[in-house]
Amino acid sequence: MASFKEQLEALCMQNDPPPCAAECPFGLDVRAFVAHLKRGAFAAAYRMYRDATAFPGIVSRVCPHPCEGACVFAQRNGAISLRELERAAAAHTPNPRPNRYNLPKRKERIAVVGAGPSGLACALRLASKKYAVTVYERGARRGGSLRGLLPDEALDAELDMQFMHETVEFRYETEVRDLSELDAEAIYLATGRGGDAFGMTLSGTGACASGREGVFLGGGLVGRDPVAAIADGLTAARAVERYLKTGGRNEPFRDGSTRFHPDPALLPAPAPAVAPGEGGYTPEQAVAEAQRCRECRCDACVTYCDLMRSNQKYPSRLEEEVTTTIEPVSLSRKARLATRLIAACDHCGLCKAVCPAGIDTGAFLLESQRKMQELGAMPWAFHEFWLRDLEFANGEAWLCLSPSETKTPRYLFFPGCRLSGSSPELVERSFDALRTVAPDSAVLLGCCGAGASWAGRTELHEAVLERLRAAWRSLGEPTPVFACMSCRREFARYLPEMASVSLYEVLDEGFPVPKRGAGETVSVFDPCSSRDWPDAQRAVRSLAEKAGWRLEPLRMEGKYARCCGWGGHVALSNPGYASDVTKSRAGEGDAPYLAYCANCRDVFASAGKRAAHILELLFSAPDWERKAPTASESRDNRRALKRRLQERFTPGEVTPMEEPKIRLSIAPELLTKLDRDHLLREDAEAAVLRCEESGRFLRDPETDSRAGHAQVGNATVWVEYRAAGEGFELLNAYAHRMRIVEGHDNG
Amino acid sequence: MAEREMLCGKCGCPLEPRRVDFEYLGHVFFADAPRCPKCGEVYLSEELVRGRVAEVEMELENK
Repeated sequence: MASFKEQLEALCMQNDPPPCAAECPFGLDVRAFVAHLKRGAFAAAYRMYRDATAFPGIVSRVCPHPCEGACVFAQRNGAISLRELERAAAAHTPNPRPNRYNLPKRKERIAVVGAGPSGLACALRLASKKYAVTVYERGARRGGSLRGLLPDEALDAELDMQFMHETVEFRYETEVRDLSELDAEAIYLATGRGGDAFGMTLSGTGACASGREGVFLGGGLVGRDPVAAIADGLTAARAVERYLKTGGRNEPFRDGSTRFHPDPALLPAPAPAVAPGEGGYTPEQAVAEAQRCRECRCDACVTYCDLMRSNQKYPSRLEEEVTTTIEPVSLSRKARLATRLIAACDHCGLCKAVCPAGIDTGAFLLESQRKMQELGAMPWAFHEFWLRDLEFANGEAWLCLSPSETKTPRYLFFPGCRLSGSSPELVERSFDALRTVAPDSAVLLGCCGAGASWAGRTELHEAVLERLRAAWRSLGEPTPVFACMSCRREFARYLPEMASVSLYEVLDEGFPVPKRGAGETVSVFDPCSSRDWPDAQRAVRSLAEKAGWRLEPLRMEGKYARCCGWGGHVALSNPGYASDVTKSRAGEGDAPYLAYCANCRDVFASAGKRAAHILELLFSAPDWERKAPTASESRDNRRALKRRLQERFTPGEVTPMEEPKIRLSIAPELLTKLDRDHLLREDAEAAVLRCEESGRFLRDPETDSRAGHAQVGNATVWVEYRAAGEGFELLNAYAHRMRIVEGHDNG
Repeated sequence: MAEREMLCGKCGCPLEPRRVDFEYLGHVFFADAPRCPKCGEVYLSEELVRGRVAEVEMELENK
């Protein structure tokens, strides 16, 4: 399989020109030209246009402007009128005269045969570089096929002006019969349509190159129209110069192609085209017309992906930084500059969904996570909190239970660890509802392994998958029913042998939905993990409408659903960034959000956005302002859910509750503070226990409180506490990532 | 917030600024922090942890 870099080189259109510029015979950088006009910089726009076309006064009048036909707005309120903008640039520039460059003369002599558009363009460009140019013209004046296309006065005035600072010898009424007559190091044949080619043809080895060294041909002679002939003359000037400097005849051909075709649906409708007066646009009109231009470029990734947008980095730049982080060019660790960036991907998949070439930058970043883990170069702190949660979910909180008599249940309900932690009662109600549809349903409380996958911990991830596979097989391979779309996405990706369905599709088909709403407006917030499951997205909307709510669509939903900020566990490595993403998502709709991912609901609730889970609408009166549980409460909820299901369905097998080894009371506000630092109640308990058991603590003589620390996982947790009743009261807790090297007293 | 006068719970001594060694992500370094002169028990205040300690951690993670 091609590396990501190779994929980018083959497919990424970041550097492809917009269709207008691709169509332009001169390859004018239309975006830059228009950008000058937008700010009223007529001089800069004109200079740029003159550099591209050599004769702006001619080209702006006679060019057929294929750019306008290629404009994304050609069929929608009218193409951007580049013809009029070009004329306006020439008309409103404060000084249309060419610059005078004081360059040393070059000794090489160049003969140009034919003073038509192509010969003139070539002669002008080479003369401006101070080559000794002689133009041989059979007729009595210059202009060739341009005569008749615009009034003679205008043509002559433009030619006089553009040649005003250059020394070119024009030999009129001089017919060249044999090229050996010409005393020159290089020759450009531009004798026009039907003119003498002196037996030369285009060799195909380079732009304008003939089969003979030093002889080039182009323009009407090779079938170009007058405008393309001018462009040919400029190309020929480059080809001649390359030949004189290097001896090569391989000037690149102009590549007038582009793969990039903007999707008009993604662009807001432009204002109607500005109609020019008789003399063309006034400066104000030109600026207004320029402002209609969207300066199209292929930038959907950097527009819609939060990570690329906030870092202002295209995939090619990300690739470079990430690759040098994984394989530093120096032996020093200092080169691993993109470590935090790699950990900032929320794995939402939007980059691939919006990329017209389907480039999957997220998959590259996930693979990079794995490589960083293999190298031991990813800081443990970026993932450990959630890996410990995974351990809890698949350890103490794990439950696989099949209440019916059958050994092979039809459905296996997989509510996911987040919903179980946030709303255990909804899990229970959902399971009951599922059992009304299929009484032989089983339930599995556990983690899908997303945390291990996001952390790039391949071995741990494999172990989680193997355990899930074994549980599924032991139940006769039932169809998993998912309440969490992230779990479903993980299963689809890593356990493809299991054909799955979402809880919402099952409920929408077979469950009588009570009508609780009274037409209030809400917006369904599709979790990013639902992107590839349009049936689930439809089912949720259908359930919400049946339940009595009116739906207001969000701009980015369905296939283009965006991450709420929780994905990838980014808050551990990039807390400010994750919180900005959540705030941004919360602001994308005015109505309360109806989520069907417990993470989305909880992060919005924490950010102060009114949000509810779709299951609340079905099974209870939704509380749009319910707080998100702390991580400690989430664990308690999952323990309680497991017990509750055991008590109901397998009363003989209820797991006994573990008594905490220490009684530690924690005020609710303090628990919230711990939660913000990703500390659990049990972490504080472990630290107090360690202090008390070892007798290693510090004492504040004024308050008689104690303080001390303990290693919990890789973190060092500090507690301040005091004795209270039969146990202790926690006064404060905090943690750090660096480890104190114990038992080393350098006093 | 004034630095609290802490005593070692085990030895009863007032703490004194002494060298403490730290390790993070393979980097080993040291700094002075309040320590029991007898048994070496260390105290890092919340202010220090949220300030300088967090800064150093961030720097090392970005290397």
